[in-house]
Amino acid sequence: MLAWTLALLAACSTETTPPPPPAAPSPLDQSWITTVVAEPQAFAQLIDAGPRDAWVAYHQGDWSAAARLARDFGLRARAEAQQAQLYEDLAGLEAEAWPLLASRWQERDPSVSDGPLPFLAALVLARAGQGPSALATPGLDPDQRAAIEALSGGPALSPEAALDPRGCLKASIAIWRGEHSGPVCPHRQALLIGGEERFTNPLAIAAGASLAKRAAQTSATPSEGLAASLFGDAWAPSTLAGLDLPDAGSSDDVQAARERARAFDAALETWSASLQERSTEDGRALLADLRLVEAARNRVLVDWARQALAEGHPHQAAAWLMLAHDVEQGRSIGPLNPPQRFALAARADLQTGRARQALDHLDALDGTVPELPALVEALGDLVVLEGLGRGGDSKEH
Amino acid sequence: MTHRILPSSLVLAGAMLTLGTLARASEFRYAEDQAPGIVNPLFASTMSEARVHELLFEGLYTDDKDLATKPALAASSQLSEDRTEMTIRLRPDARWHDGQPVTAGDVAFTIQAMKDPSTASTEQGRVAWIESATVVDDLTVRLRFVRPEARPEDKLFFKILPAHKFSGSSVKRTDGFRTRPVGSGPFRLDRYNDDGSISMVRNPEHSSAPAIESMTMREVSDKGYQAKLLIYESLEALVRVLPRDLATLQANRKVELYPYQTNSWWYLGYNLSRAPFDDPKVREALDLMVDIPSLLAPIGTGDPVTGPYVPSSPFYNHEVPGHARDTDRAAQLLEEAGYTRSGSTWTKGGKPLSLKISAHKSLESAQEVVINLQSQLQAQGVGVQVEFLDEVSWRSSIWRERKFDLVLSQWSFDRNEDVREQLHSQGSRNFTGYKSAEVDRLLDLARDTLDPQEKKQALRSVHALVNAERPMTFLWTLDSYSAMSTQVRNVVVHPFYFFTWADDWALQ
Repeated sequence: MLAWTLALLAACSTETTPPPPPAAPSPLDQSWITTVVAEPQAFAQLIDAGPRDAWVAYHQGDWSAAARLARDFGLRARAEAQQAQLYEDLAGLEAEAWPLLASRWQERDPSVSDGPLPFLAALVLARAGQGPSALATPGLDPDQRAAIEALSGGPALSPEAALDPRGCLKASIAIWRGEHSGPVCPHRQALLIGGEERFTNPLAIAAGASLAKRAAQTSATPSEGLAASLFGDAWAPSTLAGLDLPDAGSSDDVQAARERARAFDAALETWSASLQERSTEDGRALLADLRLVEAARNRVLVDWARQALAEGHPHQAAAWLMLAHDVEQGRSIGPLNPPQRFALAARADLQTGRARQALDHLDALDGTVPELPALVEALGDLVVLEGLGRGGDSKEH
Repeated sequence: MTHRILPSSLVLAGAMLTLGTLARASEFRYAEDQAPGIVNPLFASTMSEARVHELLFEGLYTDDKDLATKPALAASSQLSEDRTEMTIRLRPDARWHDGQPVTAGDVAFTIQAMKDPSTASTEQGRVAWIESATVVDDLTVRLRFVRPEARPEDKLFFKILPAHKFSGSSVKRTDGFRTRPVGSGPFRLDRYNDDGSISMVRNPEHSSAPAIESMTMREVSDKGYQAKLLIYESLEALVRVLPRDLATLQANRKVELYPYQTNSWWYLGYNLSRAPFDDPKVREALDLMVDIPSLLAPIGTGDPVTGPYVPSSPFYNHEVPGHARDTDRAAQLLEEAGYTRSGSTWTKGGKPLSLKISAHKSLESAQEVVINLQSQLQAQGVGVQVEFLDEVSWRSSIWRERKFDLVLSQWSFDRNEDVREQLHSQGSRNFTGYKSAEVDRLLDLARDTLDPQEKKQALRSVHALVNAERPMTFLWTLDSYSAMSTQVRNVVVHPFYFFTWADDWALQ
C-alpha cells in the first residue's frame, strides 16, 4: 500500500497545491502525522532516500527486512530498535512460560523433578533477575549452579561445564553475558541433557533478545526531523496526558480500560477530521491510504498494554490489544497489526489462564524471529499439561 | 414457527422496528444462525445449544475468568487417597428454577442417565470415566471412577438435570423437558416466542445475581442481516461475525469485537460404511479433485488444515504435507479402484460414480461451499447431488441412521481439542464410521498418559494417520469473532461456552 500510494503521490502532485488553512490547536497536532499531511512531498523524498523498500517494510512492521534493506543508518537503527522491542516482549513471555510449565508439571507428576525441567526453569528465573530463587531449586549439580550464577552476574561458565553436549545452553548463556555473538543451535531442536532430549532451549528468546539489543545499540544513529519519527510513536506521553483521558484505574478493570480507549478514539476522531480539513489533497490521500491515524492509535494501545502487563493488569492489556487488532487482516502482521501486538497478546493470555489462545497469537509471529519455535514448543507442552485428564467438549458448527 | 429475516430492506426495516420495540431497557438480545432444536444438555450437539445451556444450567464445576476450575453446584469435595473416589458436597442454597433444591439425587440421576444406552446421550463420552454415582445424603454424592483420576473436578463441567422432572432412569430426546427445561443457572427459560426466539429471565435465586434482567436468543438465519441488526441496535450481540462484516463492525464506535476462537475446523466426512467410500483409493481420488483454496475464497480468509486440529494447536502435525489438488493422480486412483472414464463420467460395473453432499442448513456459508464443490467434482466426472438438512433431519439422517455419502460440516472444540469422540471407533460423534486400531491406541494413550509430551506426540501421530487414511477431507479453520454493543459492560467472553461469565455483564 505504501509503495502504491507513493506512486500515486508522485503522479498527482502539483506545485500549485493551495496552502492549508490555519491549524486548529490540538495537542495531537504535535505529531509526525501532521508533518506528513502538511508536507507530502517532503515525505515522498524521505521515502525514496530510504530506500523505499526499507520504508515499506518498516511501515508493514517487518522489522528485520527494514533493517536489512535500509541504506539510511537512522532507519536501520530504528528498525533494529523495534526488533529488539519485539524480542523483549517475547522474552517476557518466555520468562513466564517456563517456570509455569515446571511448576504445573511438578504438581501433576512429581517425578519430573528428577529430569532437567527444574534446572531449565531455574535458568529462566536467573536471567529474569531472580537468581536467589533459581539457586534454591533442589537437585542442581555444580555445573548447573554455575550456569545459574553466570546468568545472575557471577563468573563466566567454564568451558568444561557439562550442561548439554551440543552446547546450546552454554552458547545462550555466553550470548546473554555479551561474550558471544551466536548463532546457537537450530531452535526447533530439543536440548540433550542427561541423555534426555525433551525440552527446547529456555534461553532461546532471551539470547536472541540480547543479540537484538546489542545490534540496536551498536547501530544507534540519531535521525533528525521526519526521518526520526515517521511510522513510529506519533505522540509523546506528555501529549497524550494533555488529552485528559479517563484513568484506567488501579485494578485490572476491563471496563475502565475500554472507556479509556473509547475516550482516546473520540479525541482522535475529532482531531483526524480537523486534520483532514486542513490537509492538501495529497495529504488526505496519505492519511487515508496509509491509515496513519489508525496505525498510530494501535501503537498507543499496544504501549498501554505493555504498561498494563508490567503493572499486573493482564485483562486490561488483553482488552487494549483486542482493540488494537485489525481483525480484517487476521493474523497477518501489517501497519495496524505490529508484531509486538501479537507478542504482548500472547503474554496477556498466558497471564489470564489462556495459554491455548497465546499459541494463536504466536502463530501470527511465525518467521519474525527464528527462535520462536523453541518457545512455541514449551508453551504447547504447558497447554497439553493443563488439559491432561480433562477430556474435552466439542460441538458442531 | 421459524422467523426468517428476508433479504429486503423493507422487511429488514420492519423487523428492526419490531425488535427494537420489543426490547426492554435491560434486555440482552443475541443472534444465532439457528435456534436450538431442543433444550436439554444431554443431547447437546451444536454450539448454539451449548451457549443456551450455559445460561440455563450449571455443572458441578466451571471455569473462573482465568480458566481455572472453580466450584459451581459443588461446595466442597474430597478425593480418596487412591484417587478412585470423590465425595462431593453440594451448595445447600442451590435451587432449581421451579424452587426445588438441587440434590445429590439430581447429580446421580444425571450421570446415570448420560451413561444409560437407552438415553443415547450425545454427551455420553463425558461421563464414561465415572463408574458409578451414589447418593450419600441429600447434599452429598460419591463418584467412583473407572481408573484413578488426578483432577476429576476438571471433568465435572457437564450440566446437571433435575431428576424430579423425569420418570425412570433414562432421558428421552422427546421428553417434554426439551420445551419446558428447568435448570439452576443464572437465567431461566421464560417462553418460546412465535418468531423462534427464546426468552430467558434472570433467576433471582441464583447466587451470582446477574445484572441483566432478561436474555433473548433470536434466530436470524440470514447471517448477512445479523450485523445490520447489531448496528441498528436491534441486537446487543452477534455470536459469530461473518468475515465480510468484520471491517464494518470494527469501524463502528458502538460495537466492539471479541475473539471467540473455538478451535474449529471444516471438513468433508465420508460415510465409510458405504461403497464406494469404504475404498481408500476412491476417498483419496475425491480428496485430490477438490480445490480447497477456491472453496474457501468466497467465504472468507482462513488457514487450510491437514488434520483434525487447527495449525496453532500443539497437536497439529506440521510435518504432514499440505493438500494439493492433483486431478491426474485422482484419475489414476479411480482406475486402480476399478473405474473407467466413459465420456464425462466415471463408471464401475456400468454404475456411474455419484454421491450426495449433505450439509446442515444453519452452517454459515455452507451453500456457497457445497455448490462450488458440486461444480468441481462434476467437472471431474463425478455425479453430485446436494441436500441441505434441517436440524431434525440432520440428527436422524447423519447422526443416527448414517444415511449419507459425504457431509460438509464443522467441529468446534474447547481448549483441550479432544478429537476422541470424532475419531475413536467407540466415539459418540464418529458418524463417519472411522475405525483404526492404531488411532484407537494412540487416542487411548493420549487420554491416559500423565506426560504432556507423550500426549502431544501421540496426537501428532493421529493427525498423520487420519490424513493418510482420509476418513475426512480436512478443509480449513476460520478466525472467529463475536460482536457486542458497547452498551454491554464488563464483558469477558468464555473461549468456548461464551456465556460462562454473563452474570457479570451489565447493560448501560
